[in-house]
Amino acid sequence: MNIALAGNPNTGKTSLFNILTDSYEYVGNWAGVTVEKKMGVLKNNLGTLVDLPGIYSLNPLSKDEGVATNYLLNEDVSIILNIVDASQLKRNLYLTLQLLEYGNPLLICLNMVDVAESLGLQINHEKLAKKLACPVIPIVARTGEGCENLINEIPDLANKKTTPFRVNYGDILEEAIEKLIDLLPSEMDLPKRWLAIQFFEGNTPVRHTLAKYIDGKELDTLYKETEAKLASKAKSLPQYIHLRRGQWIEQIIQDCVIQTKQVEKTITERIDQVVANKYLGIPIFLALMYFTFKLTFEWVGTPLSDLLGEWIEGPVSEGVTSLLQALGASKFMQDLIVDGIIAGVGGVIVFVPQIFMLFLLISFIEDSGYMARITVVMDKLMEHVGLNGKAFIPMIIGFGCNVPGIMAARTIEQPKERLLTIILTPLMSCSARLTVYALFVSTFFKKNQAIIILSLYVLGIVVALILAKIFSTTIARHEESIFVVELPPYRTPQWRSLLRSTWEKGKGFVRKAGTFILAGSVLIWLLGYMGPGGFGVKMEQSFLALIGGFIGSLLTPLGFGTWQAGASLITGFLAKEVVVSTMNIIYAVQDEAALQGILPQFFTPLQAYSFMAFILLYTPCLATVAVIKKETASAKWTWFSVLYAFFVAYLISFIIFQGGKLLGFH
Amino acid sequence: MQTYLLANLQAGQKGKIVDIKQMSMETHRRLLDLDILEGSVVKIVRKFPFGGPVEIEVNGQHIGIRRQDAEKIEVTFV
Repeated sequence: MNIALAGNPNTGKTSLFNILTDSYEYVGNWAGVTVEKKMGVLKNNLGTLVDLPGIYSLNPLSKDEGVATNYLLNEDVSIILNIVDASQLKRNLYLTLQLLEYGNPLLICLNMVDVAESLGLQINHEKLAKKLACPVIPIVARTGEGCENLINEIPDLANKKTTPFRVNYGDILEEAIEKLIDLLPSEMDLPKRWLAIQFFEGNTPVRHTLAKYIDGKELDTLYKETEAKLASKAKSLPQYIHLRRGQWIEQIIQDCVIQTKQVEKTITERIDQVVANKYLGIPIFLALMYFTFKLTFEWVGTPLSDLLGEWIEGPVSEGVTSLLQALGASKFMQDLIVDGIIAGVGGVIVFVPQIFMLFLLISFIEDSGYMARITVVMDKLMEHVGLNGKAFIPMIIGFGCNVPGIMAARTIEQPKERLLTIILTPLMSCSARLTVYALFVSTFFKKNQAIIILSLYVLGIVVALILAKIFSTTIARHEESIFVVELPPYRTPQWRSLLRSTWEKGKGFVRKAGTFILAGSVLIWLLGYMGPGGFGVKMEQSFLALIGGFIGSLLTPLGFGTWQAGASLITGFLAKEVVVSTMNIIYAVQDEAALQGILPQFFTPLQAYSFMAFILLYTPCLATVAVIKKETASAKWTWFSVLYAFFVAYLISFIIFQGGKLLGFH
Repeated sequence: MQTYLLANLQAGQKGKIVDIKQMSMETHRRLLDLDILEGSVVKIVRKFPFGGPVEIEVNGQHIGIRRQDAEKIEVTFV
């Protein structure tokens, strides 16, 4: 049995999904967190629960909405759990009504009853259930209140036969609906009345379906005639239908909802007076980012990392060495494990504290409701470069990891803006690249770690904005744009869900350490162990040095033309953390502290900065390239992303190094 | 009755929508999705500088729209 969760954006579908399936999927406080359907097993093994992206109606505008509507209309769905935001009942019921007209068994989950109560709204859910002829269960998905009742209701509903709900749309439209239904063949999978209403509402996919049975001209004539007859009542047919539904919903609300008090100024409005202030908005956003880096690199993350590093270099490394000796392992095995695996994987593991700290702060921003404000504060700037304020969400998520960032671009309605956002999000400095910066700033820029790292993040954003301007006026031109963003009330993020989402984001990093980075480390160590002269050669005569040397020679104008840098950049394509692993292996050290001692022999501060900028901008990692391919569905744009990034990285690093030299830096 | 463009109202002022003109189809649809149409009462919450977006409040929900779109919405004072 398939049970689908459907509802308006940001009404808590995923929170409910997590409770009903005992799983953890990504939640946040803005419209468009879920962009792909997700499946889970419903408690008590009742069936499969499908979480869908939020929709306002069954007529999709953006790609994520298309995912939801297609699923509801084309898959075998037994029950729809329609989640409704009790504090925004009227607007939510438009979708409910369309679902009722469609005729699947429906269960209404009246969510956020606590929020509604705080606004002085009392909803009589029993009366509402009677009016809508389907069960209505009040819940608070964030805390799990009422969800048991919901589960108990499901088995009953599965056996119930339902008839599509009817709302009277007035004589003229009803007549047209009848006329259209008569034109349809008697055998059809989809409910005919629903199809007819959706057609008159301007639903494009439905029009395509109807065109299979009815001549397109005839459809157009019917539409135009009906619209003309109703011209005195509304500007267009979709608007007329919306008005009729609105009147019907208004009536229900009058019967079922009591407003007990008027709330003067909400906390949200007070917060917004500061953070969304006309002039302070952007400075506050930048200050917040700076604070994030301070916490991550100076106050909390780095001190913890140092402790972890000491532990790996000392007890772990020594313990493993003596264990291997006691077991009588060969010199080759000892070297592989200690110099290859522990150095390579350990070198990346030490950054776990910083990365988790960053993810914790990103989760806080997502959960609080601030995300939507950023899009509004930044929209004007983004519009200037041919993007949309909404493109900031993929970019901020991209600071954690580019892969979900690129997925988040699905909520952008305009196709060209979405494409631009996808190909520019990889310029956002992700947590994997952070390992490289953390290593280099703690070696070369001890006093100004946070500010140097912030400068790299800003560099990524600035380059992305400049390229957006260039691309949007050349290869991805577009005119019309949509920017309509809901600003949800702020919520205090719950510790439990914050820790949960931090862990969910961070565990990918840990998992990578055990797979990609482990494999990469072994490979790099082997390449450094073998050479044209056989096994156990000096590193300088190994295959690794040979390949790295070739790449390195191309990078001389950028200031890091060594074979070591060349080799680590190639391996960085696997995953950017592998750059650090490679360096640990190449320079034959076990941990950060030792590497910090050695690096100044190979880099000057200026070269180090140029190298970091290159790491930031060059070709996205393998996983990111794969998701770009999937989301753009175009080999051309995928190649484009890979190549432009390389050229831009080369150019910027060249300017930094050569320009820096001219200015007297070294 | 005298009409004004929504974009020209000051923060804190309220207007009732009388007409929405020549807006892109998609934006118009999105506004309808959010139950914003002729007859809705809209309050300007704040206007962002340099011709940036306008934050409006309709039926208790806060929404950000572009200044250009707010210039296509005609209102009367409430």
